[in-house]
Amino acid sequence: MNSEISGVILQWAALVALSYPLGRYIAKVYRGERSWLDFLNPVERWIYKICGIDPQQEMDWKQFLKSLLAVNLFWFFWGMLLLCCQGWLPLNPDGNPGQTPDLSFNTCISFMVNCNLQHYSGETGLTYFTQLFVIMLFQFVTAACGMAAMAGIMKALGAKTTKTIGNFWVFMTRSVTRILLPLSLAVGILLVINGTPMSFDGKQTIETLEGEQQIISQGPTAAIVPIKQLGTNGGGYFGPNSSHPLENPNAFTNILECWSILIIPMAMVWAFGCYVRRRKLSAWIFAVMLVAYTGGVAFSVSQEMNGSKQIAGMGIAQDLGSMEGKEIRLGSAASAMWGMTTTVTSNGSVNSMHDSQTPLSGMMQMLNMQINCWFGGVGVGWMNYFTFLIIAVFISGLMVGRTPEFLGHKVEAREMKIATMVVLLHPFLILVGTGVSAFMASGNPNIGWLNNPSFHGLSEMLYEYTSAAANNGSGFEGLGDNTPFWNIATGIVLIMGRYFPIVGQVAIAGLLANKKYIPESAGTLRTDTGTFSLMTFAVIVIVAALSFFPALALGPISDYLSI
Amino acid sequence: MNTMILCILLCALGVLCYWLYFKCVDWFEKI
Repeated sequence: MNSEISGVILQWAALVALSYPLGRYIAKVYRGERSWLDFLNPVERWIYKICGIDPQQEMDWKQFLKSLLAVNLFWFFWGMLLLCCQGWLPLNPDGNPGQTPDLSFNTCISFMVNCNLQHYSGETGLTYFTQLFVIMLFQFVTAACGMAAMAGIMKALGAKTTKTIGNFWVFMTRSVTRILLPLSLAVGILLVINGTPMSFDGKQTIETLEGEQQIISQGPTAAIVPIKQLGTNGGGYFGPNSSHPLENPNAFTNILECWSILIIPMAMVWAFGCYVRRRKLSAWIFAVMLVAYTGGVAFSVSQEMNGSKQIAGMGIAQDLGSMEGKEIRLGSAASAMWGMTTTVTSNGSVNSMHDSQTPLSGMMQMLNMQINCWFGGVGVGWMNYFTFLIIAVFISGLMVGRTPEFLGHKVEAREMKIATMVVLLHPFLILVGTGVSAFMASGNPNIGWLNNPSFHGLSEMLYEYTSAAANNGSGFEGLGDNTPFWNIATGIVLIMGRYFPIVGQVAIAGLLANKKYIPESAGTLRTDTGTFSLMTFAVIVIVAALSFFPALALGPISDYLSI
Repeated sequence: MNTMILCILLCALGVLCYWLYFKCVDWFEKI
């Protein structure tokens, strides 16, 4: 078998096999049960003491959400201040200047919402200080924030009737100390062994084989890359992200980093089943997501390995597949798999340039982000699926004439209103943003954003808003996006795309948990069956198809047909 | 535009977004 295909299958198998034990462990962490990391108890008690947190205090869903929003508001000011002033701060051996206010706004919000859309180049746009105390800090705490929100939902749904959904601060602290930090340490050590730099020295000047001088950036890369992947953050230490040889040195690190992107989102699905003791339901959710992900990977790998007809027409051999924008040391299959993995999650890191992938692979990447719930971001991906579950329960209940219930709680008009608003906000942000930008670009041909005309130019703008709304962060890099318009427009889309869904989803869970528990009976619509899972899949695909097909037809599909 | 003014305006925009979410928390209870 082709070694590239073997690598893809090996990685897929490692993800599926290890997701269940990790999910079971995550459920134990949030339930507060004994685990092998209990020696960290004194550290956590110290954090609670310093921050004035009472870990025994239970919160209702409103207190839980207000705590989440308050800490994020604090980080917003923290990030804006440090990014604007980084030129005057320590750990800046290369003398990088402070960011402009609009770029700081975009960078700060982008990292604060777990997106990591980067309108700057990592090694020149930031200092070591801001890499560590803005970027890396946010990569831990924002991932933990999403996981804590999901833990609150699990607690709400796992109880029969309750007014409280746990303590946000405890869930967030445990997410960092017991899940993200240990995994990041293990991955970081493996990266250092394989050649990823970990130092505070400035740029090195070396002489190349041709006798030219080359300046090589380095820094604490191995500290940042693991959490970049495990927290589905995606912001590269270097501008070219994981296609840079120091950020992703070889085939092993490529598999390790790509595995790290998806392992926690996959495990969170099992964590839900273990937490609420509904393993069969989580198995069906996992199956739906896995089928969608695997189908996308198979499609994209075949597209990229078959090569580009247009380039073949120029007389350039396509034996290795479509290699434009890809690293020879990684190959077309691994690049296609990474592209799909990074877009089914809210990661957004890249090991090849998505702008250069074949049009239909680009379409699949956009579709993954537009659907935004095939595993998705850590915690929030499952929460997006939960919104569609509520809609599917309601529609199925109406279709078969049964009261819509989910885990023993009636789904009523209020939950449906919130779920509908959450689901429709996503296409609204993407399509309105793309429409306004396309209108501005068509009215001023010298606007300077678009390096590609016609269908591909529209795809670049559509991709940028899709990536921002899905909090993904990858980009079709042909777009000139470091301008005040793009920095502020995508900044607003980023902040809207993150918090409105979280507030809505936690509210739905909290409101359901407040209701009287109804024991399952023969008249209950079962949600842990293949039929219901197919129904949920259909709801997701129909909503996505109806919302996005016209825009995709004008972008990547027209691009494909015009080749 | 003056850098400082732009910075203050963008901070205010961020605060406005968070204010909206705090309002949403209360609104979702009554919706």
